[in-house]
Amino acid sequence: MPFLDNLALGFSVALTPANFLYCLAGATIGTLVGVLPGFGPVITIAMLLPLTFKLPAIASLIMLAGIYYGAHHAGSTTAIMLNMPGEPTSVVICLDGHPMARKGRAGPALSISAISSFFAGCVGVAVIAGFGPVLADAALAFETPEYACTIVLALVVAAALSGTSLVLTLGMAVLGLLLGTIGADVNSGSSRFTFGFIELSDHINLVAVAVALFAVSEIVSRMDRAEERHEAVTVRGLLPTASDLRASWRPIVRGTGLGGLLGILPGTGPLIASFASYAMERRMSRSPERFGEGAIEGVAGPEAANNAAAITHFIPMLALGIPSGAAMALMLGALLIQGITPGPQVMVEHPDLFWGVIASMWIGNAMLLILNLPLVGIWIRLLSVPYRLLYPVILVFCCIGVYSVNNSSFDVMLTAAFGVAGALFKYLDLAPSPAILGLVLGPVLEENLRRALMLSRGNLSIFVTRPISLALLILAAILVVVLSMPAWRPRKSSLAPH
Amino acid sequence: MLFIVIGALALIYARHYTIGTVTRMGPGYFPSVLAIALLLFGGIAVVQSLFQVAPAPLPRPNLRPLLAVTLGIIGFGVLVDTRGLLLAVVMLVVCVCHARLRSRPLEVAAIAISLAAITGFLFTRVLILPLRLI
Repeated sequence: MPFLDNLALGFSVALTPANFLYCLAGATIGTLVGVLPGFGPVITIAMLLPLTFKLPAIASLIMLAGIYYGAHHAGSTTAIMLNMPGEPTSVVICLDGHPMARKGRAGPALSISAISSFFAGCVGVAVIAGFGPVLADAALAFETPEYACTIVLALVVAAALSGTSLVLTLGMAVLGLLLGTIGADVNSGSSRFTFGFIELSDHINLVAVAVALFAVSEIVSRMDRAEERHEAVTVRGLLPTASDLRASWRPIVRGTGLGGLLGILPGTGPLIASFASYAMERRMSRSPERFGEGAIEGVAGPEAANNAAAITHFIPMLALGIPSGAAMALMLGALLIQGITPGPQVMVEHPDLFWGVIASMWIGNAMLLILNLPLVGIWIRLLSVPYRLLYPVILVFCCIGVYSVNNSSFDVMLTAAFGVAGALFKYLDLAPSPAILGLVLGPVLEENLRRALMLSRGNLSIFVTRPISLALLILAAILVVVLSMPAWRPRKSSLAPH
Repeated sequence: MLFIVIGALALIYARHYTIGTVTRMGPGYFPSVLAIALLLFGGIAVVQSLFQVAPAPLPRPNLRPLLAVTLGIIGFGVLVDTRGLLLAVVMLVVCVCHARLRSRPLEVAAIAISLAAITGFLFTRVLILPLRLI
């Protein structure tokens, strides 16, 4: 069976000592940043991206992927223990996880969250392994108009999900696209918007912009605030009771299915999956009034959805080469710098990469189970490290990272400039992720758009007469309408813990 | 609050209009379309804000952290090429921690020196990046 052969190949790649270590490193770093509120996978990946240039492509993707799902795994630990979501995706876990902890049931809450993460992670990986090649086959039918439409879909949905006002987030996405046009024009080679800087002619440095918009602006806004102190709850007994397990297996399965599905759609992802799963569990429950008071279903479902989505989120990036979020955009950047263009051909040309990464995800999820449950005390203690010690460390690593991409101090200056812009965006409550997505996808979109229009001799109807591209555009329109309805918006203000 | 966005958009638009008039798929075509889209979104946002009840004015931002961090990064950029990594790291840490320079000078010095040592070792010895130490 080719499927089993592929998996065997994957495990033989992922289990080499070096790759195993990178997987462990990624999962550990991911857990670390997942626990720290405010510092998520995007910042970490942006910071470590330059370090991965020295690694082989497989090792670097294994590590970056580990950081990504590790952070999603660990974000709920602090949500349960301290009522403080380590990641935005674990905001919902606070709602029922922390009440459970206050009732002395922190242990079961943690273990259910770890079990559901593990289950969802495994299923998600199986979905990638089974579904990825199918999608890649289908993607061979994709030509330039379809690619252009998929990119538009990804951008529109990402914009619809990442902020309060659709108009503003779409504006940010377009701004990102515009930034992506900086540099030499693909066709004519003439430089655009370089303002006389030769350094800009080879496109703007993605790492510099990402570090500035995420890390620098986060640090600047945090330095303003006083440090918060949180009371930790003590853990007594980790194991869930039989009734806990009975109550949670259905939500886990439902959450996994929902999350797996939402993760594949370009633009949606873990955040929307966890909120949607919480809403679904509350609606399906026979006693919805228990939700918010420590219902175990409210931990199991969203946690499973979040992690399933985090894993299946890789599918559009690996199979189509179209990332569906800021973190995926950065991983795509990492692959491009390694000289690998993700897309349908990756599975044929680099089967060791595709299957190796998938196998490493399985291994990584097993590692996370060990990292999260018995070691929970260590991670909680880590939170007592004051942020004032963390800021300089993070900034120094960011600066060296940005500098070492091209050994150019110009890029460091660029980081300073975009840091100011990022602080402004944060002050005005504008979400930076659509902009990063736009920046990565801009050149791809332009190229496909121009080739498509060249094929059709400038006739715009090429996008609506081809069935796949028409379907993609309609899907984008439907998703925007549905997702901008108030019931689906992740309402941070109303759901956030008091 | 949205007028700042508009201002920026208009500026970007004006900047590239000169190269953007090429219609037959010249290098300026795509950026021009984007700029028009951006102006459109900005315009809608402004119109929307006109119809809303006046939102609470934004709090006055505290510019000190931003200034410190930006200065630190610029300083790093200047020093890393001319004076080497170690000094650049020290400079960055001092800028970021300026608020505690008076109250806890020893702590800042300890962070700066240990970070410089760790990163110097890690990046030039372990990862062997082409960086100047001094």
